[in-house]
Amino acid sequence: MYYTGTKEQCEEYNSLVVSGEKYDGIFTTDWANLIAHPSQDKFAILVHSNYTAELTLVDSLSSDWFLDD
Amino acid sequence: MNGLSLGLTKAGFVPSFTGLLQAHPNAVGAYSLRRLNKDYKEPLITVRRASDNATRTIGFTPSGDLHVADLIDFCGGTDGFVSVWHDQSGNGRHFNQTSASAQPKIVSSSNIITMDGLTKPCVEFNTDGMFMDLDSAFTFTNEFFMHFVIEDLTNSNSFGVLLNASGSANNRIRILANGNSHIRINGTAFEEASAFDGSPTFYAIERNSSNEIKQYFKDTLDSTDTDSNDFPVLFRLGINQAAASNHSLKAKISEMVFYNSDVTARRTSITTDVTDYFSITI
Repeated sequence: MYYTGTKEQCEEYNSLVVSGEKYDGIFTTDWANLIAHPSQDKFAILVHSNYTAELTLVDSLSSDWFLDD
Repeated sequence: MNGLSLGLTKAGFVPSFTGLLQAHPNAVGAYSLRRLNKDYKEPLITVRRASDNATRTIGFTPSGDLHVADLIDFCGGTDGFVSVWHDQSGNGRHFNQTSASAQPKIVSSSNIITMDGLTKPCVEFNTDGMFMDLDSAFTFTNEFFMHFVIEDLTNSNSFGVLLNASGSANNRIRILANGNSHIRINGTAFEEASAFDGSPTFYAIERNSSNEIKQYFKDTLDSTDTDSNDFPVLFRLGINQAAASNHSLKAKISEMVFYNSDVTARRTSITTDVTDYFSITI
């Protein structure tokens, strides 16, 4: 499942998980890579099962998120 | 145990060892879950465990196998994920992934992951979005040779990308859901039908001095095409340039070695070394 929102919202969610999970900051620095919609007006981030946010929750990202290449 | 494990497990004890890269030197990138070079004394992988996200480097046993006991001990009943797959070629081209959710898996609930019917460990890309990058891309010019010990998984996406260039869709190697292999060089695609069958496979690609691109599956030549363009494909492992989840690789990999030279005359010897070690039927 993914949360979708602005880049800042998704980065904030990533920071929430990073803070809680206490990654080593060297070999592991982030929870997930942000996914940018081709339109660049929205972003998505993979949901961590232990952390919730008031963002839009979707089961999967629809095909319009990815250019056919 | 805490702390880091180095490549050698007992200080001062260096048994006689001959690796693939002694017999076949000058690789430009070499990644394996076995030691490939007697002069290599660094870790094979760096692993994060799921229980507390601690990290440890994992080396090899005196016989050159991945130090599985150290790996299992470190993971302590939880899952383990690879954050660095170290390059044994001496060129420092390590595959990295610093995002936890994108790191491929190597231990599942204290068990090493293996390919179907085999006992050697492998790295598993089993979830959308798992991939690893080099710091910078390497471009193959003129002749090249690369081999993979790989098992495609039955739930492979339609466009599972094995390797992809940096920032471009024009250079990639991928495994399609129907088992086809698909090589794209400078935008031109070469596809081979149903070569991957879900079993552990020795997969090799070479370009010889006649610019013939040949694909071998389990030591059988499946296709020959011709292309002379540069091939900057050694950059991203496991997904396309956009990290699109529908291009995620679903496969297990134990070894990948890359040469930017013609090793046609040595291909059989390399194949024998690899398939003997991993017990792959050809």
